[in-house]
Amino acid sequence: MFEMLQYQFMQNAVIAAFLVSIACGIVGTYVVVKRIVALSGGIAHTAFGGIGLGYLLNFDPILTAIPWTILSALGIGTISRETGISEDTSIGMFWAVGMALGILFIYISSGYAPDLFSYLFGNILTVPSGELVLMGLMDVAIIIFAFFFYKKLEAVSFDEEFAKISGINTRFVYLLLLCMVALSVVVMIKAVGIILVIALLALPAAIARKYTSSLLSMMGYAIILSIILSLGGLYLSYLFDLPSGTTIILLLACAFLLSSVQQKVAMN
Amino acid sequence: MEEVVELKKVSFSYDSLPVLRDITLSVKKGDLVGVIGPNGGGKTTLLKIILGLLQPTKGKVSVFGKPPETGRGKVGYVPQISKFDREFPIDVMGVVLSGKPGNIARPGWAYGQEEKSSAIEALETVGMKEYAKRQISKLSGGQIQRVLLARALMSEPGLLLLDEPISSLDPDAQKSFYELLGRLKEKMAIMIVTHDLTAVTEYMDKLACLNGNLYYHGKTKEGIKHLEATYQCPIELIAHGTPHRVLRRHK
Repeated sequence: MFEMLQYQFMQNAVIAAFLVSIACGIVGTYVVVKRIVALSGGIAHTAFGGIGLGYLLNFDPILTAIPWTILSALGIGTISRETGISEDTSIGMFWAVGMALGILFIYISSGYAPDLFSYLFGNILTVPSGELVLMGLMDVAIIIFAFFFYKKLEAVSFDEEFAKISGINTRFVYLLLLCMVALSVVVMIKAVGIILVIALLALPAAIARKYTSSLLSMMGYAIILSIILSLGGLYLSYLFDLPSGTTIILLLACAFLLSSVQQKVAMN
Repeated sequence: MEEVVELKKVSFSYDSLPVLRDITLSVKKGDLVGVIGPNGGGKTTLLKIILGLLQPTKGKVSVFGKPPETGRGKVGYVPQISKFDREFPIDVMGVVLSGKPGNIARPGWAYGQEEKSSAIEALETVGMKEYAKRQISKLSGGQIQRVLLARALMSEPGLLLLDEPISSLDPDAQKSFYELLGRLKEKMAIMIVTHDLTAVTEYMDKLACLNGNLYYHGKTKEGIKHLEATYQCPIELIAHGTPHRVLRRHK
């Protein structure tokens, strides 16, 4: 097992797994308790437009994906709350339009994107060192937001109406949460890909929720679970020569299934 | 007595569907008002207007002499428990502590000693002190109701608004809940939206019968005869502890 760690790309993959886990543990907790899994899935898919824009402008696609995804998150959040358009309609709209724009941008730029597949399905083995620094910075931003707005995010997630009556600017807090989702999506793209991001965001937190009594401990458990499962998935993909993102997601799904069965058994 | 809530000719429509028409009422400190009426009669809408969550289409609302958005700092709100996610990972203390706006303005997850002791005090008032560390999923409906009441008390409100607080409680729990409200009303005004006519006649001093129009607003004793007009069907009220019987079909 340890001989695999002598490769630079493996070391990077392990660091990436840690960085990804911090983002998905913290943000995933809010995504699960606030029940915005579908909305977060929509935000994740709009990120593809940002990736395409990177190809078009001949820029690092991850760098263009950051502002693009944040703007999309603000767009979905504003449209589904402030206009007559329902939330699931606006999710569907942004989801498809984001993907369509991504393909359009790539088509205009040259029509050829060699590592397009890795943005869609992820490849944790190809994360360059420079990207790790960027992921680390986004993690720091997420941690800062989560710390400064911990109680407000908790209040808005638990009872938004009451929070509003108490004088909290709930619209601001909600949009901030969606921006955190956008950031975490971009952190995770390289590891598991746009299409699979939502599983990493939702599943560790959903498992953790069954065993915790506070958001803080839920975040902690979700981070640890995500580290174990993504490293486990990485190891299995190395062992059996399988795509890494897919293996990680399937392992997460197995763990979720097991924990659900365990809960059912424990209740009887 | 101090005027707490005042509505003058307030009307409200969702899109073009009128829900409230020309409601005029006033609630004073020390009042325990039961707001009753059939489903769709506008009870919850009335609460939301007082809370400033909805703007009336016509008329004027004042809470402590101010518009609701500014006056609601002194309003404690106890929502229906049915809308809560009971599996939310939070304990009783967490819920109660979130009741005070000043508490949640600061960064981080830890609360100060002073904040904690005021939360314990609120829990003591509602008789839930020993449950402070309990996960909310492990509470009964009546206990959650008390916790939500404690949360509302954290802002030291001058007006308490309760939406269907007792619908899920057994008779004993209802009785002690109303006795608790009876003690609290000395310091504030309380408005309760409810379906429970028996409780209204037994525990509340004032009635507001709402079915689009305000059919009656005043002392409970004289109000009972207006119930039929409110519900638009004959109603038989039977003494203490027995639920009311609705005779014949509703129109």
